[in-house]
Amino acid sequence: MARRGMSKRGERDDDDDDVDVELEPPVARTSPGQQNGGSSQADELARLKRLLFGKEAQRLAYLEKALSTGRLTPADVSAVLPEAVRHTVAKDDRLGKALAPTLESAIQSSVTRNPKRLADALFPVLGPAIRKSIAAAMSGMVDNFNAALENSLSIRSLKWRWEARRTGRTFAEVVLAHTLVYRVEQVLLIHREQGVLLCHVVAPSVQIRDPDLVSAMLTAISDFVADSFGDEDGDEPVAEVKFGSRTLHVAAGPYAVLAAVVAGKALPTLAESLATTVEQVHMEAALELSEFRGDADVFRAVKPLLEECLDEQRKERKRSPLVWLVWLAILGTAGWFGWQAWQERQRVEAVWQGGLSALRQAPGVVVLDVDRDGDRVRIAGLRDPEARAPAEILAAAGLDPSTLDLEFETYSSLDHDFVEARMRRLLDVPGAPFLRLVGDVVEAQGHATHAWIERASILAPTIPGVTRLDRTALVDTDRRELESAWTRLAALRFHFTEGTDVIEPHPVDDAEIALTLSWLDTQTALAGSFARIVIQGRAVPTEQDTVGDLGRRRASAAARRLEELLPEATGYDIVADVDPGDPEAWGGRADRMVHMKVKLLGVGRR
Amino acid sequence: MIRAKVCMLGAYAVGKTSLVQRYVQGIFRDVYQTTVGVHIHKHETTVEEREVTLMLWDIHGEDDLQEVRRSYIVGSAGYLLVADGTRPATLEVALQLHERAISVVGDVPFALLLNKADLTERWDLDDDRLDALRAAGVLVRRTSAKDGSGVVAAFEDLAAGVSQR
Repeated sequence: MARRGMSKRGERDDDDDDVDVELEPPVARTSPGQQNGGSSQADELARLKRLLFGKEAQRLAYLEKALSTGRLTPADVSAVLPEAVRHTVAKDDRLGKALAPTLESAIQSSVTRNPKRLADALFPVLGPAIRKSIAAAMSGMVDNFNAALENSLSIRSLKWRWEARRTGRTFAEVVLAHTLVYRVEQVLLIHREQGVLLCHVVAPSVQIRDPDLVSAMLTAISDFVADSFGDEDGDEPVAEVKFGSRTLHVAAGPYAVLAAVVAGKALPTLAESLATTVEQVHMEAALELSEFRGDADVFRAVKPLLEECLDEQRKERKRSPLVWLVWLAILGTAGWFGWQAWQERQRVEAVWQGGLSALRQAPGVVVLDVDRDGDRVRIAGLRDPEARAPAEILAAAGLDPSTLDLEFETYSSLDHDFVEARMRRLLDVPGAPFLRLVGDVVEAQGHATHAWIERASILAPTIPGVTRLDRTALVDTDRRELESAWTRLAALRFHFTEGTDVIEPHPVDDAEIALTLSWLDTQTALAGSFARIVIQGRAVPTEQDTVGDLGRRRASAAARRLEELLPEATGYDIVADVDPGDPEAWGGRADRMVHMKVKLLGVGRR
Repeated sequence: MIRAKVCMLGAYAVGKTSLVQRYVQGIFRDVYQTTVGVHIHKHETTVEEREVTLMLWDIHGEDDLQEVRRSYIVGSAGYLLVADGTRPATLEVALQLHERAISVVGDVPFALLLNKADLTERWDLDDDRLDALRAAGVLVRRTSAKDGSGVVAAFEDLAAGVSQR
């Protein structure tokens, strides 16, 4: 073979030489003697060749280069790759299997780098896949539940329990034996020569013994049978072994055998299925099998193939009426609870909507944002301090305040009722007159103290919704009292003995005069003003007193008298003066008296 | 994990089963029971932090009536030849089986165990013959399934050998 190979190589070299002759310009082949004469001819020939075969020559040169270097450029590979992939896929699935590890690494790398990208790409298929999986799981659960119902409630199950007790088997084993047509309990991949277990899968809830020993013993038995009863070259392993209710089905490949332990009567297709699987195992792990040196871990990759063989078929059974009744009861109960839950939910929703509506309609409350998160509700908005508390409104509507998070900021509503309420809270204090809000004006009617009037006049324009206090219909009680006091004082007369400034006794005693002075003093303070008592003294002019000095002295005497009566007064002062009146008009006692006038000097004088 | 088939080869009553029981179960039964066909035992050990499962094929002893089947030896990753130091003929049987094993599985790790080392005063082996075997590259070890001497070392060394193939 080695020599034949050399010969081929030699032939190919010759071929290469032929190609060289065609591609090289003729000038390289000419002798030195011909060089000058043939140069122009050669040039022309080369030119002609370029004209005729220019593209082909370039292509040949390219191919020659590719062959000589033995390398393919990315452009070469890209040109043939799609066709090559189509060809390989049409032929078999080796390409997919070869690419699988690379794809797995690529996906792992992608997930590590940016999981969101793959998640976004898979999102459309994840939903259906999950639904399908859940549906399958639910179906299995219902089947198992049905089986459990039947097996725990029926007379038959009692028989099976008795059978399990009698035969020493577990109840599960007895149930399986009666309900399964067949089940592949475990599948072993065994190295054909060494009898070593390469891979092993077991159906759920199947109790197994040491699969290593099973593999070795199966091989030993198979060897023994083959040696004892087989053909001369017969190394075909045992195909089937029956033991009790189980059968061992064996499918052999060149390097490994696949043994399936089957409970019950297997379907005829099982043998074919095992044969296909063992072929696939040989295809996928050809190298690992042929060069097996004891490392069984490398066969983990074929475990999914073995798991596909774990098939089972259950007996179709007519459902017991009891099962239907139980299902009916369960569905009925579930339906009743569901109806109750739905009704409760509707009720809660109605209460909630009613509460929210009441809150929205409540004067002085503005709902800005409602956020429901499960059982908790957050309501944000504005509330006038005069308005009803939102928690109170919602509680009155039947909502549980403990489930509410209320965030209300304070604001002033311009609603008439709220403006009036605000006005009354500030102005309608004890002693206030009758108050009425007309538009944005507070009308006050009746009597009020001077202090109230002053306060109300200042506060009214500061109340949101109010511009001023209308006091035209208002009586200042303090001012009235003051006027009353000075009227009484103005009526007071002091008479003097003739020609002197000695005050005659007068009918009003000093105590009463002092009381009137005190009243005046108090009322000027309450009315926020200051009074001046002007005392004017009269005296008939004489030859000795032409300028009315006596009248002035009389006024001063009266002033001293008043000062003595209430020395601590601060609400007024006293001025003594001559009465500028006409003495002719006085007559009688009137010409030797003093009288008083009271002047109010205005608010803020004190 | 490494899984390896290891055969116990030798004449009848040399102590193959006793060696396996001593190694696997740590016991010795002073009652002889002949092996019919093959008994298979499993023993897990560790070689250089690597798990090695030895599938020990305790094959029936070779005698005039029954010959060790070729198919039992096929696929062995290693084997132990067992001879009884008190019966020189068993050494020859062991060497014949050695030849047969080489023809079936080729050059794989093996050792020649001269068993019943607890009875050395009754041994009747030709030392020159043993020296010649050692010179030929055969690993000759003394073992006693009864008192356990050399047993574990023989199996563990073989396990190390098969795990390094």
